[in-house]
Amino acid sequence: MFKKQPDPFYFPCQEVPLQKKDKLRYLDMTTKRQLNIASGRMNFMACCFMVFYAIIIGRLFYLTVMNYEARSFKVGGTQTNYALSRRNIMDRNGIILATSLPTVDLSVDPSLVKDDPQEVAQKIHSALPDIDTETIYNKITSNAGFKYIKRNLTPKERSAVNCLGYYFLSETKGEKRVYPQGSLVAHLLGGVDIDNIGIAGIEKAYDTELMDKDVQLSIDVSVQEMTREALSKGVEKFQAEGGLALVMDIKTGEILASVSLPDYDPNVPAGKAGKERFNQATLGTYEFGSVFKLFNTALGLESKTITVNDIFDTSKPWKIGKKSITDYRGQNRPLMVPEILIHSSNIGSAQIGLKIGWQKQKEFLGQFGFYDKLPIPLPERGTTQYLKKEPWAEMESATISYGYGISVTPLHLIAGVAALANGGLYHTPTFIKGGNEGKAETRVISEATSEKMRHMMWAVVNYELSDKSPIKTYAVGGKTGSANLIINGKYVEKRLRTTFVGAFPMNDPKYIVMVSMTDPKGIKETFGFNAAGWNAKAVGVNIIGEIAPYLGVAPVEDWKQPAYIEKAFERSLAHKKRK
Amino acid sequence: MKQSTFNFMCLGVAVVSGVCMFLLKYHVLDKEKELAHLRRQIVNDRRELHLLKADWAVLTDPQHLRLLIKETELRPLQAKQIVQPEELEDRPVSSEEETKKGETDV
Repeated sequence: MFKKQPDPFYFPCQEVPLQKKDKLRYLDMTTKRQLNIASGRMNFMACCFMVFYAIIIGRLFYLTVMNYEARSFKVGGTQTNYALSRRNIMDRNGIILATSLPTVDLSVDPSLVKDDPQEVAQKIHSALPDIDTETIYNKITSNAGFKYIKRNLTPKERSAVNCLGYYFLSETKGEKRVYPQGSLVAHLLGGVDIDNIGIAGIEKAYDTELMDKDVQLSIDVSVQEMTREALSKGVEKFQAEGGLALVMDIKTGEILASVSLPDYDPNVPAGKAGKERFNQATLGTYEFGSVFKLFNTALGLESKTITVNDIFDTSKPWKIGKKSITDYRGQNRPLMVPEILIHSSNIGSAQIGLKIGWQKQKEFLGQFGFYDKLPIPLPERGTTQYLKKEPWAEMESATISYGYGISVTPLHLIAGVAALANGGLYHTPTFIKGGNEGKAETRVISEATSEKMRHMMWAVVNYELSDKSPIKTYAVGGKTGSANLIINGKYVEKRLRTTFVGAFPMNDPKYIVMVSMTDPKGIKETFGFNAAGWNAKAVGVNIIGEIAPYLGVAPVEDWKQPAYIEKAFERSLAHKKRK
Repeated sequence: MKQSTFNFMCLGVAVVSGVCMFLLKYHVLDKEKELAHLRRQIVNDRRELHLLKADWAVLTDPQHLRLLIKETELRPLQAKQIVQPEELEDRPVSSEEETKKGETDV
C-alpha cells in the first residue's frame, strides 16, 4: 500500500514536468521572468542546432545519394585513356605514318647549382657527349630559373645522367614525333618543331585537329612505296634532277600516293632547307607541254568546234606573225583529230585552239581551277601562272593549246585530266580519306565527250604497242608531254620536263597516275632521246604494272574501239609504211 | 515493448551499424585502391600498346619488307593471277568421289 513509486525516466533534453508540490510553490515575478528568458534561449539554441544538423543531413544526402556517381572512386584518378598531346596520322588502312613517343627532357635550375660549374659541366658532358661543355656551362650559370639541357633523352643518356646524382637536374615528361616510314611520305606529312607544333605539311594543316583525334589520310602506304620505288629507279636510270609521281582515285579525287624526289628523312632534325624539302607535287608549278592538248581537244569537241573525224593540215610549220609553230618529229601530212593527239602535233593543236577562240579557251581552263590555288588545307600550295592580260594574242592562244604559257601544279593537272576521263566530273583532290564525301561534283564536260576522250587517250598510248605491256593489260590511256625547262627566264633547248598522265582501265576508269621528271637524260636504251615517251611514260607504266594487281584491278580482255580510232590507226600505219 | 528494451535494441543496432559501416568503409577503400591499380595498369598497357603499334609500323614499313622479300621466293602479284569467280575451274573430282557418284546414279 505504501509501495514507493519508481522515479520517472526522462530522455535526454526531455522537459521535466512540474510536480504538484512545485506548482504550488510561490513564484515571484523575477524568477518567472528569468525562467521565460532561459526557456527562450534554449528554444533558440535548439532551433540553431536543428538548422545546423539539417544542413549536414542535406549535404550528406547530396553527396551520397544525389551526386554519387560523379564523386565516387576518386582515389588514383579515373582516367584509363593513354593519349599523348599529339595524336597519330594514319594511312587509309590505319597504318601509322606519324606518331608521338613518350620521352624525357633534362632541365636544370641554375640557382641551385652550388658546386663548381666547370666541373659540373664536364660531368654532364661526359653523360651527354653530343652537347659541348661550353653550352652546358652557359646554361647552368645563366640567370634564368629554368633551362633545358637536352630534349628527348635516350634511355642510355637518361641512365648516365641519373648516375651523376645531381639534385639540381630534373626530368620532365616530353614527347617526340616519330615517322616510322622515314622518307616515304616525308613531304606530305611535313614536320613539327621542338615543341611539337606543326610547321609543314599535314602536321601544320591539321595542327589543331591532331590535339584531339587521329587524322586518317587517303594515302595507301603500299601504293606510295611502289610508286616511290618505280620513280626512284626511273630518276636514277635517266639521271634526272628529280621527279614526282601521283596516284589518284579517279572517281573520288582521293590521292593514294604522292611522291616528290629528292626527299628527306623527317626523323632527322631539319637543317638548312634544301631542294629535297620542296614538295614538287603540290607546291611546284610547271608548264606541262603536250598534256594540255587533251584539254584543247576536249574543249573543241565539247564546244562542237571540231569533230573526231576532222582533219587538220600539219604538213608544214604554221606561221603566226613572224613566229612559226613546228612539230617534234612531225608527220608532215594532214592529221585526223585522234592522230593530232597520237603524234602530239603542236601545229594541229594550235589550229584547233585558234578555231575555238581565246575566250572559250580561257573560260574552259578556269573550270579546272587552273587560275587559283587548290582549295586544300596544305600550306604547300603552288600559285599558278597564266596570261592575265586580255585579249590573248593568237600566238599566246596557240601556245596554250599545246601547254606553254600556263603553269599549274601537278595536283591541278592530275585532277583536270581525271575529270576528262571519268565521265566529265571534276573533283578537288584531297589527301583525307573520304575528304570529298558529300561534296558536290562539278561537271566540266559531257559524258559523251569524256567517252571520246577516253578512246583517244587509249589510242595515244596503245598505238604500235606490244600485247605484253601493262598498258594493253589494263587498257591504260593517257598523254605524254615534254616541255623545255626555263632557266634564268629562258627556255633551254634539249633540257626537258617530261610528264606522263595515264588512267586505267579506260573502259571503266578507276585510277589515274601522273609522273613528271626534271631534266632526264637520253641514254643508250632510249637511243639518246629524252622525251617523255622514253622516260616518264616508262616509269608510269611500271607504276601501273605494280599497283594495279594490288588495287584489285582485273585485266581488260577486250575493249572495242570506235571506227574513228581504227581509221586513225590505219592512216598512221599506212603513212609509216609509205615512208 | 518496454522502454529499456527498446533503448538497448537501438543501441545494439547503432553499434552493429557502426561496425558494419567501419568494415564497409575499409572494404571500399581496398576496392578503390584495387581500382586505381587496375586503372594504372590499363594506362600502362595502353602505353605499351601504343609503343608496339609504332614498332609494328616500323617493322611493316613497305621499304623494309621489300628488302626482306628479296631473301624469299615471294614475288609481286601478276595481272594473270587475278580472275573472276566464274573463271575458276571446277575442283578436280577424286576417284573415290566418282565411284560414290556412280553408285548413287545406279
